[in-house]
Amino acid sequence: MTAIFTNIEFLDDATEKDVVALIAQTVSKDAQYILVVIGSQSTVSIESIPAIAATTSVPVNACVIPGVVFGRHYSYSGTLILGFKGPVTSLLIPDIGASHEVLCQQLQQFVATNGTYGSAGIFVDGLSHAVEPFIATVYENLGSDRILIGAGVGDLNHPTNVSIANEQGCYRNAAIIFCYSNSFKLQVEGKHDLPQVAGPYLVTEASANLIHSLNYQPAAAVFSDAISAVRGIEISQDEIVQHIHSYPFGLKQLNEEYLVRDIIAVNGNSLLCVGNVAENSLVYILNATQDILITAASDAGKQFSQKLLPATADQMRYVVLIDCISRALYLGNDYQLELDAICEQLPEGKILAGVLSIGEIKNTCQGAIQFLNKTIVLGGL
Amino acid sequence: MSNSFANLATLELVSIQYEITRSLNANADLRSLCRRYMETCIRRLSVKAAYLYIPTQMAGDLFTNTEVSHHDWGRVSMPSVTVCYPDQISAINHIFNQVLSQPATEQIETQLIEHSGTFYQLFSLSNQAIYILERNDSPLPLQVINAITPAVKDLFYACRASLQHSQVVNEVEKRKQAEQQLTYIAFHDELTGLPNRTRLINVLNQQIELCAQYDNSGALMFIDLDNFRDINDSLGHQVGDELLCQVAQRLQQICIKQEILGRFSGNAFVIVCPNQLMQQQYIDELLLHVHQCFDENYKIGNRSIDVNASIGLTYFTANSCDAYTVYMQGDLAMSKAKASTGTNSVFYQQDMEKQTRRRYLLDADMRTALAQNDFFMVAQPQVNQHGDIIGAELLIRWQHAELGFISPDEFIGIAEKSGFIIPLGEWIFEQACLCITRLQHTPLKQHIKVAINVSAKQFYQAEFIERISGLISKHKIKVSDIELELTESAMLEDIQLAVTKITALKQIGFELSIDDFGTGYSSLSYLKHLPVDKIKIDKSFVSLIDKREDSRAIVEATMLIARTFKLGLIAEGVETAAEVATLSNMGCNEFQGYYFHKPMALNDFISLLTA
Repeated sequence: MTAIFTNIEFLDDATEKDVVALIAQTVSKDAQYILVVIGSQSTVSIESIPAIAATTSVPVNACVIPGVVFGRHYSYSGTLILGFKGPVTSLLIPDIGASHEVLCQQLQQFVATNGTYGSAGIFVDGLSHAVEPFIATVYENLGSDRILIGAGVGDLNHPTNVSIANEQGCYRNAAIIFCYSNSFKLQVEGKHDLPQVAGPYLVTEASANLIHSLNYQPAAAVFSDAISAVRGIEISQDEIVQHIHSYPFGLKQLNEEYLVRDIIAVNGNSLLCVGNVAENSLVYILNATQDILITAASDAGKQFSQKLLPATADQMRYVVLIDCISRALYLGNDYQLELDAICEQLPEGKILAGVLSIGEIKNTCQGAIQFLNKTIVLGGL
Repeated sequence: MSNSFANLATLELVSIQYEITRSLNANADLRSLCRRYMETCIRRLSVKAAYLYIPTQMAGDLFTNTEVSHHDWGRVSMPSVTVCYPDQISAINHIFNQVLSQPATEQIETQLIEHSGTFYQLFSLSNQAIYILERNDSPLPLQVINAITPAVKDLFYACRASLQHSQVVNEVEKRKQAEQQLTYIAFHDELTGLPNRTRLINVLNQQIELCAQYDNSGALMFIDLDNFRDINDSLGHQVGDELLCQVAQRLQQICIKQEILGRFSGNAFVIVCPNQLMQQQYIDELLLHVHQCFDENYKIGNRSIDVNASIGLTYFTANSCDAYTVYMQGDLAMSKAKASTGTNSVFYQQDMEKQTRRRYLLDADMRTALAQNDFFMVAQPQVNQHGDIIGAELLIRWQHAELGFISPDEFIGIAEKSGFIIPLGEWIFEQACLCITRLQHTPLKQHIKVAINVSAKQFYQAEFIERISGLISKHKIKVSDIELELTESAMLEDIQLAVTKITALKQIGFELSIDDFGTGYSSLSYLKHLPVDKIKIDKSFVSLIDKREDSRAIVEATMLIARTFKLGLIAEGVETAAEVATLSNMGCNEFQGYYFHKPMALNDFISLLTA
């Protein structure tokens, strides 16, 4: 028995009343745990969730995320209600920036309850500076034997708003980890396939997610020179903001795809990325085009389907998608093509359900946990 | 994912090396530093796990219990060893044992071991540290290993430096703690944990200085437990110690403001009340609370012990000389409280100091007075019912060169306390011998006996009998010519020893009388055991006996005892004819007192005898 969901409900422009009704409906289908995923432009306020959760007979967690996906439909204002079949143990970490010792204590409790084998999901405030150290601490305490799939949550337009809730309250800079199988490992496929067009560059000065200099030169100047050369036109430093979505950085990794770091802003001579970039790391400039993105989406769906074990495929009804919001923002209305490309590759009858995230989380091929950008992650159990 | 390792660019290798080395630069504790280093390796080298082994002997408290493995090595790992799956643990233990069995080297050795399809890249340094990177599917390329070997070496050196630094810090910390402990011991009482005398002196000196600053005065309470020695002697020192602790606790509970409670000496506690608290009402209340500490019995084991304390109080100001003087004043007041019968607490007054000073002066001067013959003897005749002199009591007198006549009541007490009574007693005995020698050479109408007082200290002196026997022999006088007067209370100090000594004295030929009879409160029971010859009725019963029925009753009882035990009887302090008549009527036939003769110079006494 590998299917983990009782049901997944989707409503575009849902009201709180709708959410209450859908939760009730999900409970009536014997869901043991409910996850409410609220699109950032939804009228449903996450602040209403603690009261709803308190009156629900099963544990309820919720998060705000840029967008939701259901089937071939995506929405920034929609809401997903995910009902889980088995009893799911969830851990809400109210402050991922807490000391290492505190985080370890909380995560070790999770391990004491659930062991180290199986599959788990993670939603973490994707706009927090503490995401990557937190992810490293999660790996330190959960080990490599539990497959994780997760997303960075939050509202890009309101980065300081709360983004995670349970029956106790609402939190920002928080995370939820929920364990949905202690017996089976999740099938995960992640992909971006973005090619390098320039580099390598040595990151000679950086602090957290801000790159100040590349090859000892101001980062913005290096970047504008590079994309000017790639495009064959002069692009001034003032104009590069128009091109940053097409040219993310890729951190060179051994035996792995480039670890993408989206550039989201230009601060003077520095470039602000989603996710940290360490000093002395080696970066390349990658190129995202509509064709590349859609082809990669199709390939991701294909590879996922090919690797699915027959037993899993038979039982599974939903395929979970964690897709980077930057892809949707870059593609605009053509994002539908990406969704279609994925869905076309999935086995018949499987429904895509997922989120448009601020960073994606999955294990590397070695087992470590990584915070990715501009990547499609597909999961199924 | 299809990257080939074949042509790793130099820049990429430099980047890897720099980034890993750079992770050591963080200003963090060793554990955080190791964690960050391993995180960087996992991320940058695409490895599954990293393990750092260090001998526990070197590692100090780096490892938790679960991280200490066999062969006295500890291991930190990423992910944590507690979440490594069983096969992973088993494999890494196998690898570790394999490395450990290899000969030690002085340089970093690298080695690749494949175990069940997993690749373990080892870096080891002469049994000082081992670093292992675990990787699935494919080993790390040689170029990468060469590039990161210096970075691993840096890790080992960073660990060693950090651990050595920690050891130095620990050593300094331990020394600091030892110094603090020594300081604590120097200033605190080991038994009760209270400030000790040294600390109290310092505190009081500070308080005296503060008095000048605030133009105010402070107070000191000197609290001395009564009869504490009896508790130690009868119940043991363990009980005594426990009692002191409990007293300290009770006193501590009442010191709720800024008072400083300390243990000044064995059974003496002190409360220093800072100047800012000083108000009479406060002192009165605190004193009341101190008294209340002794209201209830102390429970020690199954014993209930009634404890009292004598309290001396004194004030100190900016004009106080120093802490020692203030403590002395408190001690003096406490001694006064101990000596007084009506109260347990006494405030220090200046004349107490004068008295003490006089006491010390007399004590010191007594020694020179004896050498300079400032002491002399007088005789007070003893008479029969007809007024005939039958003997005399020799009494010591002191004419001080500067202070004039000093009362025997004053200096005998001081001599008793200081122990000077022993040489002084011997001198008196010798004077008695000389007196008897003179009497022997004087034609007398009848035989005269000479009585002298013997102090308790002298009497219980081990060689007392030998010494006075020696004097008798020296002066060649008859032992029976001397009557030794011992007070009732002196005999009662150790009745068994008293009986033994009196028996021995009797065998030599001395006559003995009980002085101040009736004042010891236990006259009847012991008398039959004491082979004495005579009872001297104390002057307190003789005075006004003609008018006081209670005195008569006591004297009648004393006479009955004397008759029963066939003892002689003499009344001392007789001053009126009515007293003589009453005593005669009651059957007393021997007297001593002003009514008959005042004490007189020996020459006068001899003249009187020969007249």
